[in-house]
Amino acid sequence: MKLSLDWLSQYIDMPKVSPEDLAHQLTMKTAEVEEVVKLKRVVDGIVVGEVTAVEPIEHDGGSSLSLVTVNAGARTYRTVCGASNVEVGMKSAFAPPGTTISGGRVIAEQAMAGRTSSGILCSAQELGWGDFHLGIMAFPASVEAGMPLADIVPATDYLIDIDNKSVTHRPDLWGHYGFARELAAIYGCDLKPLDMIAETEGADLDAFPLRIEDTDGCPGYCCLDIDGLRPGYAPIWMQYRLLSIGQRPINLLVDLTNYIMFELGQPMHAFDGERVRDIVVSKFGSKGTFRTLDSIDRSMESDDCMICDHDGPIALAGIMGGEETEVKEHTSRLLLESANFNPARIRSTALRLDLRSEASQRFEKGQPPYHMELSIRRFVRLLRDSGLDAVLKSRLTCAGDTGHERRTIPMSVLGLNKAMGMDIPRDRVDKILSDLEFSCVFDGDDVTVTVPPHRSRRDISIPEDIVEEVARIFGYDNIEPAMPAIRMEPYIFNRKHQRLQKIRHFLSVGRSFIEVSLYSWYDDNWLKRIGYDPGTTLCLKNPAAENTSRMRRELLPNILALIEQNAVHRDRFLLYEIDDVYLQQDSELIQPLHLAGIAYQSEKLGGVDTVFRSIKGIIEDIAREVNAGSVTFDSLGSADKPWQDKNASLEVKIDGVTVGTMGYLVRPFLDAFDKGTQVVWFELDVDALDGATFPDHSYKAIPVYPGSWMDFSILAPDSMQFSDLEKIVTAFIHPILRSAKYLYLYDGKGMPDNTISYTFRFWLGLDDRTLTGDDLNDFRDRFIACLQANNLSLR
Amino acid sequence: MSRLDEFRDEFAREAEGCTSLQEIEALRLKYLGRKGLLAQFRKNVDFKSLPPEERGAFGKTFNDVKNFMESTVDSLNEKLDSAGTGSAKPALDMSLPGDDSTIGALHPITLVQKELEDIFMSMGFYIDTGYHVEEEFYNFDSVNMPFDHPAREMQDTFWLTDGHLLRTHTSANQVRALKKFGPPLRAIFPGRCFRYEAIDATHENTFYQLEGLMIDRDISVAHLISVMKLLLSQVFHRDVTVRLRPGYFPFVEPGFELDIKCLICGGVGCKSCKNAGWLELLPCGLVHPNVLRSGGIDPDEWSGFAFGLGMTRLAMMKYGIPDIRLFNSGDIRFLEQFAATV
Repeated sequence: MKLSLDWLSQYIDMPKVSPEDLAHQLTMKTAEVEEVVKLKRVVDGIVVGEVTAVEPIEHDGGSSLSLVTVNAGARTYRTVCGASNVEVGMKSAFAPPGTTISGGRVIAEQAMAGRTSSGILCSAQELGWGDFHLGIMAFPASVEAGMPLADIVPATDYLIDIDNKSVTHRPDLWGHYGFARELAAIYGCDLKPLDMIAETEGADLDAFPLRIEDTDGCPGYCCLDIDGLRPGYAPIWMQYRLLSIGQRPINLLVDLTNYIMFELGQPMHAFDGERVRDIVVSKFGSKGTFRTLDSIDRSMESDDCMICDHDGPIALAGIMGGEETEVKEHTSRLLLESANFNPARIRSTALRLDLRSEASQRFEKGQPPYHMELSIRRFVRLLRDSGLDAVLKSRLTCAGDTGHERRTIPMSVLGLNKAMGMDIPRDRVDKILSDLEFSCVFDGDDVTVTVPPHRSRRDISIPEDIVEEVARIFGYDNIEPAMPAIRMEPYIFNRKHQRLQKIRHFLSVGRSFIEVSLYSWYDDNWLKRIGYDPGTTLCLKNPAAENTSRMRRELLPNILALIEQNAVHRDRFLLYEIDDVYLQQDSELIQPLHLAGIAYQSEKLGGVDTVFRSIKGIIEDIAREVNAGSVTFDSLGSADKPWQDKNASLEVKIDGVTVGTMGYLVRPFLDAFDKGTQVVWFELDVDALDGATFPDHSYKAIPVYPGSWMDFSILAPDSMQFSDLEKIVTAFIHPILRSAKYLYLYDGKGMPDNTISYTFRFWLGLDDRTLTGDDLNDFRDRFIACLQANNLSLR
Repeated sequence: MSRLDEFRDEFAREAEGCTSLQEIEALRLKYLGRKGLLAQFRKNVDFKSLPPEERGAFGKTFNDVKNFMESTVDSLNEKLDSAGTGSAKPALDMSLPGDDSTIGALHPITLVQKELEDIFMSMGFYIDTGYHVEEEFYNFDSVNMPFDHPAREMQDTFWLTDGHLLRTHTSANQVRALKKFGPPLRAIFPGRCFRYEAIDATHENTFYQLEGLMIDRDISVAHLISVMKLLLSQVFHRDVTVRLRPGYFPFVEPGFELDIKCLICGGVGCKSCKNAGWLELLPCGLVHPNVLRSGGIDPDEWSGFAFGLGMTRLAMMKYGIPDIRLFNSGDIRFLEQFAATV
């Protein structure tokens, strides 16, 4: 929303402050100002010029040029002009020789296409009034040739650019008059009433035939039958202002409706009055097409709200008129519509047809119905001010809600003070509200606030809305901060969230992992490359890209996609993500918290076995970290994801329940990556790691008598799995054995063929006495016997 | 003067001239070595021939001289060593680096989030993360954005084929929390949000917010300002100046945009505040009665405030990250810069 300061000054006596201060006050009290731009307009030396003759010039230049005779009041000039809209009798902006126009260009008498050209007829761009250069300015016939533009419009204007988002809820601020009202309240100056024709004018005439059938789509409708229109152009000041806010002047009728839309916020539409003799607002009723005034056939749905006459649709309500009833150049009679439409219905039709106009945008915000009559009365006044003898042919005819009903909001001064957190004097409340055209009736602590008709129901309907009105004009800066006093209560910890933060801390602080955060959806291109079909997933109706519609069921695929890009830069890295995944389970949506990670190591740095064991240990530690209990690993039931391999993957279990999987990548999956890539991966359901929190530790008595330990290296055939050996070791019992722990393996130099040596440490001790040499020898003998019984020996 | 005294004086003179560890070692060998002057002297003394009354005095003098020489050598060595001019190899090269750090990296959003969570937890705010995939009701209707509300358009939405949506803001958790905990309540909802929009250096379809909600009796604008000021001072580790101006968010009434005075220029205007002197930081306001009602809470009895912090934006500000696309890039050259030091 762009505001011209020149335009605003029509409604209030501008306070003597800088445009920047004004903008600051608006930002602090009304709506966010994005920027203030100083507009420098060319007016000095420019006069109204009347075109008295146009003589085409034959030349080789391609474009059509004319030698134009211009009556500039004091004297006549002959100028070469290339504008397509130049015609005899028109009045335009003329810059005589010696005048400086936009861009600092000084107009000199010069030869053009073999003629002497003195002065130029100016386009909006040449005057620096706007970006339009399609033709020269076209002024109303009533202005006198030779009149200096400096007498009509200022050389400087300021444009205040309002962030549209900050006025979404304020349809009354979609026009200059609304902002003038705000400034009046902020600076305490008077707001001038809009100049309109009297409410009573034409009251004795017949009503225009009008009926609303689609009352949902069109809560209110007003129209007026007007005669006496002539083709012509809008007053110079009006064109000037429209250009300031970026609107291109077209002709009187279009400019007038535009001007009122940017003044009050109310869009209007003009029908050819000869053609339209009755109005019915109804739904389109069936599927079909409708030709809008831009000559495009639009496909309509039966629910679209249409303006019709007895013959059928004549306009797309609130969005665009129809071609058939468009006002023709020489139409003298017009039917002026000012209506109110259902914002949601307008929005849905406009979105579907991709036809979002200034008008539809305003209707989507919910225009106050009160502006319907106002805008029509204003239109007739401006029409007459433009020199036309507009004759009313009907009375101002209205149907539905015309916004005359006054809403009241009962509230209490105490409530207002409580919400603000300070006492605001009652007379201050009264003054602020009445400046904004609310009225208050006080009765003790109670106050009844009457809402002015220009404020929408959506914006102002409850006491809290009134609090905002008072507080913002009072100034939020004037409210003294105060800390709330609250009751002391125990804090409730979110255990799931604590678990998440603990795991992050454990992996990133203690284990060199780097945390990543990736998208919530899969990339189908990547899935295709790794040959993964995730099966049924939640799907986006409107994905960011065609290949990103499926929501992730697990985290790992997106993490695996990071290997290549990062392996270029590092030969070793550990990555993880901890976040939600999305599952449809028994038609119920669940969003469990997952943890997935990878350990990448280039082959050059050593085998995958040490990495695998380190990740296995980390998984055990994670479970410990969150008190989930102790982890066991089992062979994978079925390898149903491409990165899983039955011989290279394990199930991670707690108390026999699967909580995740881990493994390392093998061929053929690994073929997708560069040679030498080694990756260990894991994915856990963190929600399944919810363990008891009490007691998290328990004390065991420290042995009274000193213990001892013995390390044994066991020679085992390499065909034997460690887990089988472990079973033998853990099954061995002896009175002095407290616990056993695997230390390391050796399969290097000096070992018999096809054997591996596993070293275990045995912690020994007794509760009732110190160990003797005999105890230790007995332990050693029996352990060796146990090994022999299993065809094993010490190394 | 006995021979021993002469040894001592000569030693002392020579010791004064020593300037390197080698010279000290040579001095030590000369006097104290196995074949040094003291040893030879001792060997040549026929101890038994000394009168018994002199033996004790001789032994004492001998030991005194020997101790003096030894301690002089030690202290000279020490002195030269610590002066760094020595060249004798120390037992340990302590200049070697420490072992590889086991500190990895936390995502920058996590760092910001953790810091915010600590601040809010210290003030008794409960943490609830809510759901990424939400019902239309919680994301929109429950926070006073019925289907025809124009504000819905401000938040372009990812819709799922089953009618769910990806939450467009963490406010989606307001009514869930109100229902779950009831009043009074202090809670924050940090987490991932989604908007259907094109990605560029300043726009992402996946980003992080932190919503705050406080419900109690007679909560006012004055309370909101005060709590926000305190929290932001903690976030930025210094006093901040805040200002409220009108802002429109359907779930609050009145609604505000909260700005802080630019921390870089102190309000005079610079590049990072686009010469405004103020930075728009967070939307906030008093909770709209309709939201309280959605949560089953009587707005006549309870009131509250809510605020929303853009964590992604905060992280960009805090760490000087110029491109929002880095966050979800998975590029470790970016991520490893954020050492997990919390």
